[in-house]
Amino acid sequence: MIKDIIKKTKAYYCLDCGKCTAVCPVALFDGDFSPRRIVGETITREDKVLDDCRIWNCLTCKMCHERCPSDVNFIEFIRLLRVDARGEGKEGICSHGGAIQSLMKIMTAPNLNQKRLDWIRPDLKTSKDSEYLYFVGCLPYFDLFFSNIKANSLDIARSTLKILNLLRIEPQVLPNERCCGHDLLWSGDVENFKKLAQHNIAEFKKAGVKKIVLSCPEGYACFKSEYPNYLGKFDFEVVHISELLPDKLSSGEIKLKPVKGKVTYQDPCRLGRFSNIYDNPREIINSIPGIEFVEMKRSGKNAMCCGTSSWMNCTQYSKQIQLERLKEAKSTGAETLITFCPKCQIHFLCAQSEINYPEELKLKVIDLTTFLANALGGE
Amino acid sequence: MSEEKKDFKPKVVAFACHWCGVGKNEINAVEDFPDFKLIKLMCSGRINSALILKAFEKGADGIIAFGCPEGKCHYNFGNRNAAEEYKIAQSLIHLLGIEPKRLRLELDFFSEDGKLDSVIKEFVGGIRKIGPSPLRLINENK
Repeated sequence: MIKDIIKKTKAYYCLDCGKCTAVCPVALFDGDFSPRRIVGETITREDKVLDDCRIWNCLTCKMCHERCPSDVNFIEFIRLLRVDARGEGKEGICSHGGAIQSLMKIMTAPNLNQKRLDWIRPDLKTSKDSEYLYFVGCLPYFDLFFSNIKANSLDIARSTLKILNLLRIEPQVLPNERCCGHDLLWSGDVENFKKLAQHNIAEFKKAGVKKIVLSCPEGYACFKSEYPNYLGKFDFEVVHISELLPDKLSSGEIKLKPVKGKVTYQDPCRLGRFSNIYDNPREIINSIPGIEFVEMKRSGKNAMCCGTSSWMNCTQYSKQIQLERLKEAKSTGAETLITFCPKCQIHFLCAQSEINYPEELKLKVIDLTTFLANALGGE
Repeated sequence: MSEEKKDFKPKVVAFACHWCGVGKNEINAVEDFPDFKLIKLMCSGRINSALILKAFEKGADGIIAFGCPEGKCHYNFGNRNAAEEYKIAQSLIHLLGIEPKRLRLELDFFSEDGKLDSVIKEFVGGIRKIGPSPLRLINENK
């Protein structure tokens, strides 16, 4: 019921001030998209909103909610509308021909027997009885699917495992973990999200783990808040890799070799605005000797989104958002853009692979785990 | 083989390029396999991992695709695209734990009398041996 959605997300508190639209990255380029107007129109003519294709264009980057003086939870509002719209048989436009949506749905099969551990090199140590689990998520699939843009997403997994080993953690890595379900949930498919979540929880229990380490902010935010929301008690400690590092780096337990260069950092929405982790990644970057770290104009809470979410509605506006953000990164004088979410990395690499992408705006895009792992092994 | 496999009627999807000859004709072998779907395309270059995954998601037990031989593509490069996409799809289904024999690309094909039927029969025979796709349960649980 749309009335309930309005009530639940406090949309009726909207003051019509338009701050949401002023900061919305989609509205920056798409004149038809305005969070303020969507809220206003939904309140006045409830029945029409589910037919509105604009509800699928929101990036759910939470910038609007961050600024809203009335605390209207616009992205939750959008998500709940999507659930209702899906109930009426509508959905967003799947990017990549819907391949990733198919992967996610295939993973709801109960009797899956994945072969997803081939990436673990012999020098990387895992164990079968550790209380730690490294949840790899979709990285093996992304690595393959985005091989055309050289995303090398599994570098993130290998780097994370290397870092964990250095912290004397030899985690379990499960052959049959599923996708965390984050993207299905945010595209309104609660039913399949729950199936994935139940499979994952069953796998975690079977493995007897207590702490789950993640390198992906979407999985982290999803385990931390959505699993307990939808499936009740979630008896596992959820840890993002960045939470394990700053102490060990400042105490000198992890030694780093100098890396020369100027870098800037893209805050992923699920790590920043969703999970409030802003300082740890910066401390990690600054602990690398020789590195010159510069902030982009819009950073931290104001960081601009990477342009697409939940693998849907990747439009010309997405490309414009990505170009805008890459220009901003380049204008800092940095030659490397550090991301901390496999999808931010994929989206920026994809934008740079466009045929008319200007050569002078090219930047190296690398995940922080990989960047750190490359600096390991100092005296 | 178990009883289950004896009754097993494989669901097979065939993607066929119009120009390689397969897409032009109905396939005689269809009568033998009630759950056989022929999807005609203008070029094998249209085949991508999204289509293949979608068919598996919907419960296909096997997917076979037909295209023109190297150098004979009506659109010049379509069959090369198909071969590249096929490689990615193969690796993706390997990750998912789907048996590799459930997917096949025939890029050496200009329909000759009887050849098509024998290729399909052989492919479906292979599927019968492996049994139903583990992904059928996604749809049966609904």
